[in-house]
Amino acid sequence: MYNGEFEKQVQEKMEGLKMAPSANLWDRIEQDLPRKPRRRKMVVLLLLLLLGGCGLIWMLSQVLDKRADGLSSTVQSGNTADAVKHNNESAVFQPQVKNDSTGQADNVQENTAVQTHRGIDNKTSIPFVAADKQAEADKHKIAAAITSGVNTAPGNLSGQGIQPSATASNGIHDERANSNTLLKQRVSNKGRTKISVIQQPSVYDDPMNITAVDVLSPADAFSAELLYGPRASINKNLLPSKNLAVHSAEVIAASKNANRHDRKKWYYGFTLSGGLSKQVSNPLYFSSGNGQVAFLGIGGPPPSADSSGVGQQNAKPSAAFGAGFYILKPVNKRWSIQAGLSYEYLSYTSRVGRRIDSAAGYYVNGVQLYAGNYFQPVSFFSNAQVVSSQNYMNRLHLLRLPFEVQYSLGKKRQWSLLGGISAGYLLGSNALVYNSSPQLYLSSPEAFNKLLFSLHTGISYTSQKRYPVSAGLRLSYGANSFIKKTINDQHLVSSQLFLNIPLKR
Amino acid sequence: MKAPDQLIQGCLRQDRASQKQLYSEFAELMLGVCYRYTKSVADAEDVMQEAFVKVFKNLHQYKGDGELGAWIRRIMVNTALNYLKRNSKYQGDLSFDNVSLHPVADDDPQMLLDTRELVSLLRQLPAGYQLIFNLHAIEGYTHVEIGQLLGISESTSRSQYSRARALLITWIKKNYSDNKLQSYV
Repeated sequence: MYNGEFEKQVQEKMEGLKMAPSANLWDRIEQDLPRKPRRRKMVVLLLLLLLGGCGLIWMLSQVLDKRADGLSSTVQSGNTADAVKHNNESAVFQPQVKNDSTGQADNVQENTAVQTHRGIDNKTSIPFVAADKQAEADKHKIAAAITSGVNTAPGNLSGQGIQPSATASNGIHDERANSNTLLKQRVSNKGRTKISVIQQPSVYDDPMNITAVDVLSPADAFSAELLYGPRASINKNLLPSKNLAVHSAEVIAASKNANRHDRKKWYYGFTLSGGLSKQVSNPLYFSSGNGQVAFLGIGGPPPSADSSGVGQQNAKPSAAFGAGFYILKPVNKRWSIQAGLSYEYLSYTSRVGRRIDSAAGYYVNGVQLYAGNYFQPVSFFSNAQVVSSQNYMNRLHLLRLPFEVQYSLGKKRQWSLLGGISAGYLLGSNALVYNSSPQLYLSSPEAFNKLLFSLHTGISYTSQKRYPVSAGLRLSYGANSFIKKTINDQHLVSSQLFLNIPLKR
Repeated sequence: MKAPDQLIQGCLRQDRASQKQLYSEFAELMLGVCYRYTKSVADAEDVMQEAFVKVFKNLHQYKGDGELGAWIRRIMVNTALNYLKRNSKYQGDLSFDNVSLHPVADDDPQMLLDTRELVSLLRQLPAGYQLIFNLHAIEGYTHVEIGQLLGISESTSRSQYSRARALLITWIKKNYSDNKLQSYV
């Protein structure tokens, strides 16, 4: 046996072994080192994006408000001008509206400020009120005027710029707009107010292009006035005759037919979602060999193609869920925009071979992937290795900043189509990436793109207007690959049911 | 120059200056360690690069209960082992099967070679011999530990070491006599 003297001498000599590394070695190491945590920067960035999204919504709503104000002002100014014009023609109120069903017109009291005006078909006159020009300039006073229609007591009208006698004794109020735009008629009938919007023949061919709106509250009245304008729907069947018995017609309830979300309000609350997610290669895979482009299939390269894709062929969908905060702003009766901030968990399973608890790594175009352990691939040809295969759960944690547009469908506006885009930040993942060169799967943070964008579409159902809870289905597709393109394009897809719960009624 | 504790704290904060200082302090010594396990300087640098990345990523696991240099050295050795295992260039030489015991030269040669010459001879050993000789004679691993590290039996490690040692001693003796001969020429 040896006495160890040799080993001792070797050890002593080797202790002093020093070598100067290459000048660029530190640079190479530095490239592989994780950067300083940028979470704070990301949080600030996300907050800025959220703020930007809210700002955009606010700006859009302002623009639309201005347009609505413009319409309202046009109506009012046209109304007044018209009134003055007709005041010169005929200053005496002549309630000539035929009203067989209610007889309300007969009860309307004459007033000096009440004007008459030619009816739609130029055969019948209907009454209207010429409101004070200054007072009526404000759109809010339209609502006030409508409110006054509900309250039949004349005292309620003082200060509103409305002629008190116009609404006295459950009178009829008609506001004739510019003759080329629309006519609004308010009818007070036993405490129940109705608004009718009548399109003029010059705008629409049909002189009876009428939408009647049942106003249940001042807010509804105002909303109805803005929401039901020249584009109001028609319910001719409800009108008893063409003889302008408008106020006697049954009406369509505004509160039931308007957008489920009140356009003047901001809605915010919690959003929850759950479903399935999966990773896919490029959805459409083409080959351009031999100078010809051939469509090879859906779902990425077939197993016999580039081996870098083989490892992901056996991925299966798994659970996905999310939770967050949303803010919604209706912009008109059909369209709404929504933004938010949410956490999202996506996962999928893949079939891999034996786990090897040993460090492994490789370079892909200068990017070093390294992990403390790795998995062998499942061999499709060796039964012996298939026995040792296992399911691996790939998990991804994201912070999402979605922005979407919703379009209401149908008369009841309960169903909506939605579509949008979201920016996401990958907080972390244990997903495996496969490389054919060392033939192994490993999970390395360096392999992932941190900033992920996705497109989504779906359908939602919104419940009652006063507490508009929405539920629906959302399909999402990752617009960019979550694995760096130096390896292989891999996109995340998910299908989730969601529930939006507003915080306030 | 930062104190060791400050240096470690800086590295834990991913402070590049601290990381570079730590690297500068240990780079020459650790490259020597890596060089003993590989067949080229380029391979040694690859190993060291990978090992330093591990050092910085896992520095939070260093509890300060031993010398930092020893902790880093251990990572270098483990990284070198993994590198040899997965690199096809070395896999042919790393077969430890069907090894028979060889007579051991029990006469220790006088170590007149300098470090550079000794390393040069050591690196001429087959990779398997080189690895086990490094682990046992220089790093101080027992054969049991080597067996666990490499997935071989203790006796295999022992026999491989014996062969490596005998071969190395033969080469040292030859080298020494050649040198002496040369000096007399």
